Amino acid sequence: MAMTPRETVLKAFAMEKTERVPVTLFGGGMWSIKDYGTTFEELANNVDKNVEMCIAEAEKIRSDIVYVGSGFNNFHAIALGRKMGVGVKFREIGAPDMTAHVVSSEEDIAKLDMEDIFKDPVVLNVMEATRKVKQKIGDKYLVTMTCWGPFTLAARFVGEEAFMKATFKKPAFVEKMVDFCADLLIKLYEPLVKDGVEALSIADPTASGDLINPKQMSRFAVPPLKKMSDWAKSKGAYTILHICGNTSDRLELFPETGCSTIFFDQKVDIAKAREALSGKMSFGGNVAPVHVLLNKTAAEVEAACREVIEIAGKDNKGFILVPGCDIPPTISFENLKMFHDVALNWKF
Amino acid sequence: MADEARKKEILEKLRNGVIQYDEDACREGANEAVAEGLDANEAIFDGLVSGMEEVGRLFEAQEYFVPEILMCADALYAGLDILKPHCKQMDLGVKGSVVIGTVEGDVHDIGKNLVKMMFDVAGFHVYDLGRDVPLDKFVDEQLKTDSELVCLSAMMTTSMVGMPKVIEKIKAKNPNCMIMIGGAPTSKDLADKWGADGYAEDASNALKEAIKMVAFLKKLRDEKAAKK
Repeated sequence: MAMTPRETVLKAFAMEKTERVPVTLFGGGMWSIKDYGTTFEELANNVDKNVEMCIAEAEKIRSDIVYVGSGFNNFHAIALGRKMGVGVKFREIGAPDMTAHVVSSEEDIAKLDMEDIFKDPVVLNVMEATRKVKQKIGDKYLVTMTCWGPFTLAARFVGEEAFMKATFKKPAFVEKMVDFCADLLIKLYEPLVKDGVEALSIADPTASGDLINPKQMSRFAVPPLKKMSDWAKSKGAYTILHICGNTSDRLELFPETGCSTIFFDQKVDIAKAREALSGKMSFGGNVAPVHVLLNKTAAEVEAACREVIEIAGKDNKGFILVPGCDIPPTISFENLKMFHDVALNWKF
Repeated sequence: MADEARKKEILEKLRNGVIQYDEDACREGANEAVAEGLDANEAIFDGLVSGMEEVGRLFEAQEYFVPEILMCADALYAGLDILKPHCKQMDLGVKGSVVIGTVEGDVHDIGKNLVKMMFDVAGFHVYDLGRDVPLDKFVDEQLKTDSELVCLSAMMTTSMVGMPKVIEKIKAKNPNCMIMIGGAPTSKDLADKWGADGYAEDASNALKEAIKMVAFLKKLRDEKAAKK
């Protein structure tokens, strides 16, 4: 019997051979919401609708991984910030945002109460939706809930510009903040993993290779990721990591995160990534979401996907076909279908 | 009036202050420039901006990343705040007013702020709408201020889809307005497709483009001075 999408991608994490090329989007919340004809605001308050959407879109898109909560990550910071005056901003285009940054010192960290994460109705709704999606289609697909990586989440609390400068001016504060965020995220996932959710999906765009230098990534972004992946491993759960930007100059840091897989941005030289990670860590990438998936024809999408697989996935040792980042909501279904078809129909 | 050697020393202090993200050195250099009667425009361009050009080079060479650049920008502003009141009105042959902002759905404004800084330095009048800006606000602000240039920034594949809408609306109301787009997911192809007039490839190139623009303005200024 053919392997399920879930089994296929878990084999890839283990760097074992699969029957076809594993394939997934990373997130895809905004595309799904537009395609399903709903809004973030509606889903924030309607668990059943969120569940229905995730299931319908999973069957339509056919990624091996199903992401619940994609686009809702800011609520993990909003939940703790509410007491300090942080509000929510829903809008026509884009994911809901927080209205203020409230942490600027170690004293401020002490004012944050981790328990507040479970008092936020939107966080609770997304968690409940994750449980239900897992119950309904978790045997077929790998079901995960999304979050920001600790470095990115910390920057959400502090404000990105101030946080960037603090990596030089107040490194001890930054270390404390990212560690706090790792603990917060572990706390968030604990009840889900206990209920059978198998994977943590971690996006760390602020730790982008275009934003911080390799030393800073090693010092501030890797240790909290390692803390999360160590915890996940101890519970038998997987960690899916995406970091934006060109990280070609620091590929050796990814195995140090301990994550199950890393999805690369389209700027990364995928041949170099394969060379650096082959046999050490599963990796995915990196079809350009705008340049190719949005702007090219289906035939050109097919060619681009084949090219990436030829370079990075032919030896069938843990490569996953993924877009270089989350996809724009305006990508045609035809192109998205072709992207998946190439991998789903691949024969080694 | 400071002699040539002293002038060089002050300009070096401003330049190095920016490169080494040393706000105090930039403040000190700027105060010295004012106290000793240096031309403020010269102090800005041959001191602070010259330093920022080197920062741009270090960024290109991947020796500097964004945190370093943000600190360099702070240092530049520390000097600029002191020097600006002493500037002669720059007559660059362009009116120079620009509306800039990050489009709705996107809170990433670091790249946008760096570009804004370069416009500030170049003497443009900058109408900074901030981040997560509702699309119609760009249109309204351009009309209200009659700016020649509108700069749109987006750092997310999910938010850049608002750009063509803004471009279309602005061009419909004011076909003469120039529009530049930038940010990680955008491209020259997209700029062309959407009818934008200019494009800055990504955060680093937005900065480079802005530096180029300032360098171009500098050239104009120098040519003008040479003609006098």
